Order: sequence, then C-alpha cells, then structure tokens
Amino acid sequence: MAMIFRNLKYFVTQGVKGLLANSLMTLASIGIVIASLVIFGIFVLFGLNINSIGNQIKDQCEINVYMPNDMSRDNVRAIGSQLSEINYVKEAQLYTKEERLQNYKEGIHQDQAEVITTLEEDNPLRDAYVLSLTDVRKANEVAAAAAKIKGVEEVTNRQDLIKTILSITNTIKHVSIWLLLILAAISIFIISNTIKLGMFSRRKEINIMKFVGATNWFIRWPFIIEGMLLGAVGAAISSVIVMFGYSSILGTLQEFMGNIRILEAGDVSNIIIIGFTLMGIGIGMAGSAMSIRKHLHV
Amino acid sequence: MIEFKNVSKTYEDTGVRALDNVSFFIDKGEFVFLVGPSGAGKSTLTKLLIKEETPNSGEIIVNGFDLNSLAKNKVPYLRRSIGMVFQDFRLLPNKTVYENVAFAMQVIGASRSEIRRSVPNVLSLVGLAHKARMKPSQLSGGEQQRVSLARALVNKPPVIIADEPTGNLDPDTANEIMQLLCEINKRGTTMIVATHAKNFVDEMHKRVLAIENGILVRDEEEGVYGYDI
Repeated sequence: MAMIFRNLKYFVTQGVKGLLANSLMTLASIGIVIASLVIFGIFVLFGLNINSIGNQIKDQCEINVYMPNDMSRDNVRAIGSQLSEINYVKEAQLYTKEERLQNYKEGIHQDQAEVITTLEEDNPLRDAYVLSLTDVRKANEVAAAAAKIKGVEEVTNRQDLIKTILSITNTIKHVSIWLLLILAAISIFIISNTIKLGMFSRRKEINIMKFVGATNWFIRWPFIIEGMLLGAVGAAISSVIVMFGYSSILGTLQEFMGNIRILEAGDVSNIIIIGFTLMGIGIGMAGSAMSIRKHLHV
Repeated sequence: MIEFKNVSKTYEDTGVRALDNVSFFIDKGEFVFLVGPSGAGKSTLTKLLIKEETPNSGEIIVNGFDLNSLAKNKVPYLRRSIGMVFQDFRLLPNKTVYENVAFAMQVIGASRSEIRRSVPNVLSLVGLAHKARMKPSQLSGGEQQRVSLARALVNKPPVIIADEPTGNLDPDTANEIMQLLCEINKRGTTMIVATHAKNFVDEMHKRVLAIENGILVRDEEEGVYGYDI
C-alpha cells in the first residue's frame, strides 16, 4: 500500500498520459459509460418515484363505506359504531351527504353553478364512513368485514391500486438490474479494449520495466488508474446530464401528477451522484482488470 | 555469485532441448564470456538467470536467490540484482538519455533525490554526461549502447548480463564498449557477456563458457573463442 502512495503521482501521470495517447478510444469509452449511466439513471429515477408514490398512497390507504341514499341518520350511526369495532380499524369518520356535497361544491368551478343547483334540489350523494386503519396490509380483510354489515351498500378500497404500483416497482427494479448488467458489460468490454491499446503502445516501456525489476503492481497501477479515470469522467458527465434533465422536467411532471408529490432534485441528487461515481469507477476498474489479466503478462 | 547445478531445459511447445545437464559456478567479480553457435542455448541460459524461463530440472542460484523456490512476486527483486544489456539497446525513443536512465530507478520506486544523485554519476562513468538532454535518435550506436549500459548500472546490481553488446556496432565502437565493460568489472561487478565477437574473446584472455546444442562443452580460464566465423 505504501508503494501506491509513494508513487501515486507517477501512476496518475502515466494514467492520464494513457488517456491522452488514444484520444479516440478514450472518447468512445467515456461516451459508452455516459450512455449506460444515463439510461440506467432514467430507470432509477422512474423507480424511485414510483416507489415514493406507492408509499404516499399507502399512507392514504383508507376504506370508504357507503350507505344507501335513503337510510335514516340513526341507522347510519348504528352502522358506524359496528364499523369502528372491526379489527384494525383505527377510526370510522362519518361524512354526511350534506358535507360531501359541500366539499364537492368547493372543488367545482363557478361556471357550473347550474349543476350545483340541481344537486342541491335532489342530493344524489350517500352518507359515507371513511375508515382509517392501524395496519394498511389488512385493508382487504377490513373491507370484507365492512361489506358484511347489514345495510352497507358499497365498500371501496385502494388495495388493488397499491398492488399494481408494487408490481410496477418490482418490474422496474428487475429491468434496471438487468439493464445495468448488460450496459456495464458493454462498457467494461469497450474500456478493456481502450486499455489494451494503451498497453500495446507502451509494450516497450513495459518490457523494460520488467527486466529492470519493477514489481507487477507497479506496472499494473497506471492502467488501473487509467480505467478508473475513464469511469469517473463518464460518471461526472452523466450525473450532470441526468440531474439537469430531471430538474428541467420536474415542474411539468409535478403539474401533471397533481397532489401526488414527485421527488425533488435534491432528494435524488445524492443517490445519483454517489451511485454513478461508484459505478463508473467500478466499471473502469473492471475493464482494466480484464485487460491486465488477458494481455499484461507480468 | 551464480550457480547452475545439472540444469536442463526443454521447450514444451517445440520440443527443443535447449540446455542439457549444464553445471557451472561464477564467483563474485568474475568476467565470463558465453560463446557458442546461434541457437546453442546462450539465450536460454540468460533467460533462466532472470527467471523469464524456468528449468525442467536442476538448481539455479543467483545472488542468493534460489530460483526454484522463488515466488513469482519476488522475481522483480531478483531482476534488480541483475543489469541487462541488449544487442538492440532497447531505449525508449521519446525519452532523453537522462530520462531513459532515470526510468530504471523510477520504476523500482527510487526517490527523486536518489535519482538526481545517481543518474549524473553513472552517465559520467559511461562518458555521456554532456549528452544527457539528447534523445536516443540523436546518438550513434555506440553512444546508445552506453546509455543502455548506464541504465543497467544505475541501480548498482552485483551482476551485469550483456547479450551481444557489440553485435550492432562497428569494430572501433565495439572495442570502446568492451573496454567499458572491463572497467566496470574491475570496480567489482560480475560480468557475463554472451558474444560472437571472436577477436575480443581471443584477445582478452577471460574465462570462456562454450555451449553447443545445449551442452556445456568447455569451461576454460583464459579461454579462446574456438569457432570459425
């Protein structure tokens, strides 16, 4: 280890020289790292957001229980007390049809005043209980129990939506991992070829190093650093591209999603920057290691 | 100190028996010519000395390293104890004379101050102090060989192996290089010179090891070349 630090300047200088010597291959390598990380980054951002949306909806997981429109308020209250006795129900909150109409009126545009007048004359809405749960995973159980209570007209719950979201999150996770593996393999292959060219153009030096007694690691380090630099530069550029791209579509995206919150650039920047840097350097090192194993017989 | 005990080497891919039961002992500070027809096994012998090849049987001891038991990652330390000089010089064309010599110190991890101290010394020893800033292409063949000799010497190895050091040089220049090798030997460095230069071997009256078809056929103090060219 001491050897690395003592000669670090030499290794880095040689690594940079290697990059500059084959500028075309260097550009190709950095390009492929950027392309891979940007594609991967898009999937990661998509996945992170779906995950966060899933969590937000989970938190809002409530069950709506509707009563018949013509049921008396006393009967409604009697059902309410039965509902609050179901296991895992934290609270059964009653929204009368009058309250619900009021809410509806507040949400509707003034132009449609006519509609409201019609509604006020004959309120089609039903009294409803909103059940909040102590354990959202029991939503189906609770909904079934609520539906069995005599007089209950309809029960809705968002469990299906949550299931769909969870399965999308899972698919994205799988696709991202496969995509990462494939893209990383391509990047490693291209980088290893770049390093191989560097070794070829420096074969005379390597030969001399061997017979004057340079250790194997002394000969290898400049190539490892060359690979790490390729990966790091690629990671830096792709971080900028992904973060800039995400920030610029964030506003539009949030508008489109309404009251479901999209992750801010600040929420994901650490994951993207640290993740990309580690992956870029890792890919670069793997590329050099492959070339060293195959072509540098020290 | 170099010792070969019953060393045999057969190249597996071609089946050529390059060395057959070769034994000899070279003491510290000796000057030895290694002679024999092309393909007799001289190159194999030098490759065995720096562990570029390993023998099929027998024992080799070089500067205290037992080559049979020497781990692969210790080979560089063996090589630091041996200076190599080649017929084709093997200088780096894009580095100056100074840098070519300094390179040999740099890659074994010498400090800058050590490099600054040693390189000028060794360059003046081979008579090239005034050409330190030149590139190899600006030098004559003899001068290039001096640079390669300086590079071999700079890490102060106890042994120098010169493989056909005068093979690419005109007779006068060859003579100068041979004198220089003698001078370095007189300062205590063991010198092994593989050569086809009959005149030098005959005139210098040094020890001669002659190899033919992989067999050590002569080992003479103050020997002669013994072949027609």
